[in-house]
Order: sequence, then C-alpha cells, then structure tokens
Amino acid sequence: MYFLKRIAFAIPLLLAISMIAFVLVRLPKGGPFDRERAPTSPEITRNIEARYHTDEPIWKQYLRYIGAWWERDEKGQWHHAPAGFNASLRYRNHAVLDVIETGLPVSLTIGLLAFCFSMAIGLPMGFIAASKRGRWQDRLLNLLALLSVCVPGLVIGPLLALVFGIKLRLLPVALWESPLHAVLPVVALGIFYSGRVARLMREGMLGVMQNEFITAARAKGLSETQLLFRHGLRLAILPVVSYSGPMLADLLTGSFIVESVFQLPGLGVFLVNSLNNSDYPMTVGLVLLYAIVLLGLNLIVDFLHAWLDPRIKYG
Amino acid sequence: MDDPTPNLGEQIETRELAVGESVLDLRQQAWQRFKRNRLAIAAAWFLVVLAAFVLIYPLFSAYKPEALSDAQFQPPSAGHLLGTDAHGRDLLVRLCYGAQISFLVGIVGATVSLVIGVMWGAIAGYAGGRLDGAMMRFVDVLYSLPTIIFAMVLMSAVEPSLKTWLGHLHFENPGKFARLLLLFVGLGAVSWLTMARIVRGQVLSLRSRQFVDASRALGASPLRILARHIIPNVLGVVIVYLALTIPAIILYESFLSYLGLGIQPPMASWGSLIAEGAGQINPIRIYWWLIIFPGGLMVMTLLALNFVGDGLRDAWDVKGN
Repeated sequence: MYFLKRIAFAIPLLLAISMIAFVLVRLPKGGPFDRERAPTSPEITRNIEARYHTDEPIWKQYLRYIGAWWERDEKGQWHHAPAGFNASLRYRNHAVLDVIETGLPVSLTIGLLAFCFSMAIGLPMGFIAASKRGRWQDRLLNLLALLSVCVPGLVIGPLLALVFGIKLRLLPVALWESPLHAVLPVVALGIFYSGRVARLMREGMLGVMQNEFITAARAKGLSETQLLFRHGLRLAILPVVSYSGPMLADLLTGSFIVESVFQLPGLGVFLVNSLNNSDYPMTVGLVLLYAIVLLGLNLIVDFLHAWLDPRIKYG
Repeated sequence: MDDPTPNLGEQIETRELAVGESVLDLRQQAWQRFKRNRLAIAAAWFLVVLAAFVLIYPLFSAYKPEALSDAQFQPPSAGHLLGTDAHGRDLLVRLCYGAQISFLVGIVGATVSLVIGVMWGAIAGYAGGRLDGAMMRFVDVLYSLPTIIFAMVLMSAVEPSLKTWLGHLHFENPGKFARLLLLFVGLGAVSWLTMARIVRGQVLSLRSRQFVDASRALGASPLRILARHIIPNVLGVVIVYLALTIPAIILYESFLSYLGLGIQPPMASWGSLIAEGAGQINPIRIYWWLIIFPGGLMVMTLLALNFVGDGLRDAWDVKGN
C-alpha cells in the first residue's frame, strides 16, 4: 500500500519537475536559432518562430510540450497537437528518445557497475575495520577510506588513463567497445564512494554491536564471527542502504565526468551540449529521464530497507 | 538528530540564566578537545599556510596568470617550478590563481548553503506539525534527485539576463562576475539539505527546554525566540557542518568547471586546470605535470579540510544524520 502511494506521488512530482525545468530553460530571452546566420530577415525569423512555436506564451508551449494541447484549424476542427518532447532542436536527425536509447545504457551501466564496485570494496573494508576496532588494521582502513573520499573521479580518472592506458598500455583509455573498456571508468567513478560506504558500514557495525540483543547472543555462547555475521550485519548495513539513494544520484551525475574523461558515448555530453545550445526539448527530456531513473531506484532502495529491517513499518 | 548528546543538553539547561557565559564555556571545552587532536591541528596549519602562499606568491612571481608565452609544455625546471601549460603559462601561478577561485567559491557557497539550511531547519523544527512534515518531505525528495543538474539548468537559464543586468550597473567585467555569482548561489542552493536536517533535529530538542518555555511565557514572539535562544545554541553544530560543506562545494565547483559549465577561461580553478591537463592526454607525449600538480593539490586540500571538519565534529560531539 505504502509503495503504491509512493508511485502515485511520483506522477505529480514528475509533472512539477518537467514544468520547472521547462520554464527555467525557456526563461532567457533568445532561442536556439540566434546564432545561426544572424541577422536573418524578419520573415525567416517569423517562420522559424511559427514552426517551433517559440512565439507563443510559455504555458501554451509547455502544454504543447507534454502533448496536452488541442488546436483548431481553418475549418473549425479540433486537432491534437503532436507532443513536442521528442524533437531536438539542434540535432535534426536525432529525436530525444533516440539519444536516450543510445546513451542511457552506457550511463546506466557505468553508474550501476560503479555502485557494485564501491559496495564490493567499501562493505568489507568497513566490516573488517569494525571487527578490529582500535587496532592498526582499523586505523589503516580508516585512513584509506578518508583518502578515497578526497579523490574525486576527475582527479583519479585522468591519472588512471595516464598510468594504465598510456604508460603501461594495459587497458583501453577511450570509447565503449568491450568489457575491458569499462574497467577504468568504473574504478575512477566508484573509488570515491567506496570510502564513504566503508565509513558508514564501520559506524553502523559499531552502533549495532552495542545493542543488548548482541550481549544476550554473546552470553548464549555464540562466537564473535557468528555474532558479526548472523546478528550484526543485517542491521549494520542499514545506514549504507539509506545512503545508497543519494549515492545513486551522485553516481549518475558523476558519470558525466568519466564519460568526458574516457570519451564514452553516454548522456552527459548531450546534457551539457543542450544546456549550451538552449536545446530545450533535449534538456527537459534528459532532466526528466534522470528524475524518473532516480525515483525508481530510490523506490527499490526503500523496499530493500523495509525488507532488511523488520522494525520499519510504512503506513 | 533525535537525541542530542546528553552532555550538550545538560550544559545548556543548567546554565540557562547566563546565556553568554554558558555558550563561551561550551566553546572553550570544544576548543580544548579540538586542540588535543594533533592531526586536525596540523591540517588546519597546512590550510593556513596554503592560503597565505596562494594569496602572496602571485604578487611576487615574475609570471602573470593570464600571460601567454612561447614556452609551451615546459616540464618543471628552475625557471618554471611546476612547468608550463599548452599556452606557455606558468603552472604554479595558475595553480595559485585557481586555488583562490576554488577557495572563494567553497567558502561563499558554503555560507549561502548555511543561510538557507539554518533558516529552513530552524523554521521547520520550531513550527513542528504539518509545516515541519511538509518541509522535511521536500528535503527528502530533493535528496533523491540529481540536484546538481538543476543547478546546471538554473545557472545557464539565469546567466544571460544577469549579465545584462550587471552590465547596466557598470561592472567592469560583467561576464566574469556573473559566473562567480551564479556559482555561489547555485552551489549553495544544492548543498543545504544536510544542514537543514541537522539544524531541525537540534531545534526540535531545544524548543521543549525550560528556558525557551520561560521566554515564551514572558511573551516573546517566535521570531525573537528563534533569534535569541535557538539559533545561538545551534551555532556550534552549524560551524561543524560549515567546515564539512566547504570541501563538498569545492568538489561541485571542480565538477562544473571540468565540464566547462563553471569557471570560464582564461580564469582558472582546480577543476578547469585538471580539465586542461586531461585534454592533453595523448599517446605520443605525456605531460604528467599538468595533471599531477593540480590533482595532488586538490586531494591534499580536500584531505586537510576533511581532517579539520572531522576534528571539529568530534570536538563538538555531534553525529551526522
């Protein structure tokens, strides 16, 4: 029931986001055609404006954009105006959906692989640090975690490309052709978040181990390893689970950087270009896409949270 | 934060009459704890020295940050300590210049986020009930959205009109100034969420304390209570999160500048310097100094900022989220 409500809430939210984005993008004076062979004759300008409806008031343009606009032709017949969300203004042969179709798999793959990478590194790091609390392993791992939080993708990306790609010639530095091409981008993107996951995991673990049910289990005679794995882990991972929502958001936008460093055909380039060209159907379309993907992923995260922690009741 | 550390709460409650004194006391205690953290002190000194160097060195250097020369791609030498870039500009001077911008954006942006976050959190926490629920729900929604993309859209939307407006006000270089202003506001506007949550939690626990009740019974207005009693008492926590927000904003700024949406050439920031270095990666010649030096300086600064932030947090004994 709760999750149905969440999904129902997402629809007005997405409409609001699309409206805000649309108004923001259309706010500045001037359109996407200003830089093309200016100055044009007034007829051409008028023609272009009529063709792309840039002369209409902005609310009309928005309704037309989402496909909720009907207009009358000369004979007095009502016609549904075709929705404008798919037509890029800069790339004449690319519809917005085409760009998404080619770019989204790349961006999503990098983002999700980086997510798995940072979990695979971060969770064991935090776990070991917590189980060796106060000893040298703990301090070393803490230092490593802090270090990795200070190494963003735009620093480590070019470095990895330089060392592994150019100097050692071990891995390809650009393009998106084989699984090997994904290694450097995923590491560059994921390493930053592995440190944060490790810190959260360690804190969660230490917090859980102070609970009374742990003491009770220890009194029952369970070994420390059994305690950590069977009772501690499930609850200790909760802070990491709730962080993974914002983390996914950061990963998907963070992939702009590695896409630019490693010349990958993802969505980031298109978003940046559309912003520079005021290609508003592209901008709004991509913003909406990111919102949809993240709302979906967050729903999964919440679902996981509820499944892991039986104390949580959504209602 | 639902349960404040008993230590902090006790202090505030037992010394309710001497407000100024009790706050000072708390601060002194925290300061004592902070001074015992050698790593944090060392990091703080590193930052001070770095800031001084970055401000002073360009004044005495023979090279100007934007002066082009024919000495392109010089490796580090006695003449150019850190080498030169693709346009023959001295890298050390440009690094200092970029550091000034990055620090400036980090500090001002964090202050903007502080103002928004404190107001949002204080109002939500103090009002309580429905308004609180709605305001915090809004924060939750924003948390799960790619807010940096909104900052990008916002900045590119507002820039043209801001530029013409600043031009009317007879600014010398409206384009440069508009971009900086947008970075301050845009990055501040996406970084206030954690601050709002923390402040709300603090305010929620403060507002049921006796000295607030007393003030209300004496007829003080909600605004006065917020300004006189609540906000001064959350100040310590706020300073801790300010210190932790600065590196986050520096990261965002470098992110935007790397993509070409932040600082525009010929100005520089760490992000744009690293982008320039990364643009020169090619299989024939390796210009390692163009990446190692900006990247290394950035990592070291972020580390130092995080050490200081963590030290402050431990000293004030506050927990995140």
